[in-house]
Amino acid sequence: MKDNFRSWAAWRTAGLLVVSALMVSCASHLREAKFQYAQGTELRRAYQTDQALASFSRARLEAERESSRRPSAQSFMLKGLAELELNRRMEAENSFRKAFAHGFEKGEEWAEGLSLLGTAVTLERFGLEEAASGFYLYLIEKSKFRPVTILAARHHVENELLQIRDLEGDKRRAALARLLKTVQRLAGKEPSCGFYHYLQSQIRSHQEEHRSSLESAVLARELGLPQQEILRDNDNQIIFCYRKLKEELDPIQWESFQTFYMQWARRWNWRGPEEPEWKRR
Amino acid sequence: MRLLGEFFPGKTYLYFPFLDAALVWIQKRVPEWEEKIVAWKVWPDPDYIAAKPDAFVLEFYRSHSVLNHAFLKAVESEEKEVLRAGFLRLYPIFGLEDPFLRGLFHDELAAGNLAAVVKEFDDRVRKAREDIKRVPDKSRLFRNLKACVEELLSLGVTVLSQTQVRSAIEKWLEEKGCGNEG
Repeated sequence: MKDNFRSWAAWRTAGLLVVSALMVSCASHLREAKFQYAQGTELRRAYQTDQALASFSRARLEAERESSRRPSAQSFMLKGLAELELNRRMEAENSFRKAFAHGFEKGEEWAEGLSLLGTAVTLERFGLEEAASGFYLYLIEKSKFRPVTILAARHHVENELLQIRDLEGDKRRAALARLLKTVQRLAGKEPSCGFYHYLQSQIRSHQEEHRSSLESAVLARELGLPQQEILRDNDNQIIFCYRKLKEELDPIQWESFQTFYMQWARRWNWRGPEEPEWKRR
Repeated sequence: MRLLGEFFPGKTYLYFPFLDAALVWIQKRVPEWEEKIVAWKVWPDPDYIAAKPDAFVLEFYRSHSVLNHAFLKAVESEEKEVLRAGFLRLYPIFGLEDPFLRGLFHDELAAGNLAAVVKEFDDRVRKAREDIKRVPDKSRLFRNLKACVEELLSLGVTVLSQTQVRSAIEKWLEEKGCGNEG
């Protein structure tokens, strides 16, 4: 009897240990997923794209482990966010729907936004740019999910600029002004988003407003951009405007402009007015 | 290089991205570096705005002497269509200085054969992505990568930033005579 009791007690202790180990392991999956996601965001901000993608991938894996053991709104939401960073939009949509099913109210709205974005990208790929444009505009105006708004804005601007590039005269001017207004509205809602200022700089370049384009690009650089490639493209835009203004400004204006410009170049540790630190000599 | 050659025979351009990732992670003493390499995404689709005004495109060709020389006729007569088509492929290499693309088109760039870069760009990039996915024995690849990274480190490569890592590998591969045979 005593032996039976001892053996039962041993099994119970072992069982409790297994259960608590599982609980700790579950908690650590969620914690690790959160940690890796936050680290990925940090690395992306520092333009360490490769490392950021590896962190998002790890966050996704940990969130997946957590949601298969203890499905919850939080684990699916984290999984969806990591998937979105890894450009796995359809999987992210699915994760947000599951997060909604587990009580995360915004999950359905986020999933719908992603679904519409996916449709628009497909329409664009098959040559239906006008139809795609309607979806992008809708998302720009209505989406409350920031990553979707940013992606829609990027696609919309690229699409529109491709079409506007071959227009002439008043039609061209009006179309560019309309596009700029759309992006300005977004920047008005979120002035600290560097990417919206980058988009404005690109549009102003098509308008041949080089001073404004440069100023928007400077603002974009200061506020931060989502990728190393975009940062470099933005730097090239700054240099392009610098060269254009050299042709356009009279000597007195040029001198004052150059003083202003060199302050920024020094702040960014550029080797010269046309030499960012990443450029080969 | 012989070690990596077992995995990418005739595809030396693939050494570059793998070495780049391995060096970054091993140098940082990250224990799960193998997992990070597998998770690592080669050439993520760029999200910059590629629809540039013609003045920007023209300035791009004019400001790079190699491009100006290779596209002299098109630049002088401002042939929009030719310049725009070339821009989409050449801007990531010359304008954004993408190290993987520079490795991928090493031979063409060294020979100044930019027409071939433009012509083969889409196919070569697609093929490189597929080749990387198809590496057969990953554990042996990791062992060999570690050996290569150790050789690189023994040569005194000190890692300060990702950009410096990339240029160090590029130089090392060039010294080893690893052109692109893919």
